[in-house]
Amino acid sequence: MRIAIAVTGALALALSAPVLAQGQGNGQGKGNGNGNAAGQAKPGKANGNGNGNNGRGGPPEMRGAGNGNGNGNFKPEKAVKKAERAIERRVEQGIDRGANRADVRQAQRRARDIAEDVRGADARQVLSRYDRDYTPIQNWCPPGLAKKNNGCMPPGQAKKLTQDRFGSYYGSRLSGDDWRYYDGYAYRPQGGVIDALIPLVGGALFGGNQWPTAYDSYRAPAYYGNYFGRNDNRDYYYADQTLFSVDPEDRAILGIAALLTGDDITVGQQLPRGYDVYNVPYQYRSQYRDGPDAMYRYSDGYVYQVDPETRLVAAAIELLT
Amino acid sequence: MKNSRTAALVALACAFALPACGNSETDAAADPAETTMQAGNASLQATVEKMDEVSTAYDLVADSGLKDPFEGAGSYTVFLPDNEAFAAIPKEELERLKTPEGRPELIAFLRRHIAVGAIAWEDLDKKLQENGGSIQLASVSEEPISIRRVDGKVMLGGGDDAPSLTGQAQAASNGVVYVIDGLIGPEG
Repeated sequence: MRIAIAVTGALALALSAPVLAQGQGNGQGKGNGNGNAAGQAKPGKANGNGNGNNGRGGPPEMRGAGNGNGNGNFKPEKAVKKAERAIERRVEQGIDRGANRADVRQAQRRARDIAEDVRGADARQVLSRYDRDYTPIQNWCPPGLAKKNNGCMPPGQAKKLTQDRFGSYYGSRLSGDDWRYYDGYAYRPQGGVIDALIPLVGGALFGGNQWPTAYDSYRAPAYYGNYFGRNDNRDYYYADQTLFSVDPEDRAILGIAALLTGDDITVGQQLPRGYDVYNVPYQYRSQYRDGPDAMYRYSDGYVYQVDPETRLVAAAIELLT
Repeated sequence: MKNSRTAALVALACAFALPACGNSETDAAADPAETTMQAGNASLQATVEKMDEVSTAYDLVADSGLKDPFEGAGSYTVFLPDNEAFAAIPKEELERLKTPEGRPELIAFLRRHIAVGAIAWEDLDKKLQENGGSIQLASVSEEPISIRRVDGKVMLGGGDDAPSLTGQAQAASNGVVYVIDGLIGPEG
């Protein structure tokens, strides 16, 4: 089931990225690909679920009439890429969770098989089959700090795997043009498999590295820089729910300027979950206080006016006025 | 241990609003930062820096490159594990998280402890009561932070061993800092 989610999410992600740059996308991450909803573009959550009706989106100036990314615009060549990426991501998740090497190799072989299949005429059918047939990598463990010594993999082996995984990157610092970027990761395919896979936030995208040209379209709207920035003449880009400040001269990443929810909050639609409690920043509380006719919630630099009864969003308010 | 937690919870309740916990003279003279309904004077970063009980978390925030967001215009509510919670993690593992190789994992870990906006204890407590003891807070991670009241404790995430609020929350100029007694895992 997880792979079904990942592939569908990947579909929405891959197709929305170019539109994002035009400010009329369908959002990144969660989305059902129907292509009829009002488009949004905002730094979305890294993992698309593909089950909801709402694409992740947000700021008004980045919204527009969605062109749709669903069935009517299906493009096999993009589906190929998406399938490959979705599977690559499954491999990565398996690694993260401590899958043993045999499981990972099996998943990699499966990835190659699927990639070949998808190159056929009806890629969508293949993707559906993949969704249906996929068996998740077995014996994986929660990553990192979640659990230790739980028997899935000896800590030493897990550490070695991590070192292998990052070794190429930290040796080369992303030099060369053989790196690709997708859905929260930089990766380098070699011989049909991924020989290095680096999380973006804190890894490939971090102070000292250059902002990748592949992510040029992730330039944040001016409002983000104005609100989160410090009048510092920096450029601002986003990826994976993170706003980065970038040197406009040499494109060097200067730091993380803000952490974002990536939540889709759209005027006329219901407020997503997670906004039960009043959370307006202190300096705006006198202006935006909950009352019988309206409640206010803050997210990613905006305050949203919401109908308390219906939870429909009535307005998105910029905080610089 | 249990007694100390109980004492901490009592202190938490007293710190935030219960008139019976203090005398009116003290309350009237209280530093605004001691009620999270009002902004503190210092940024989140500076506020956490002064909280000895979360010094390990502070170090990790610094190592993760997240100081800027906590000093900027963005508003956050952070649930920081106390030092005792981190003591359960092997030292070498903590050191690994501070390295460039461990940094992505560290940031992902920290994000699970950060909700968006400034959430005062008084508002949190009120909404817990209104919602039958369970609420969700939008986070800067992939899933909201689930909060529930169980046997008088305010717990984050699922499971019997989920971390709970402890100590005294602090209002910063751009958010609120809560102290918790465990780590929020990827499962929430």
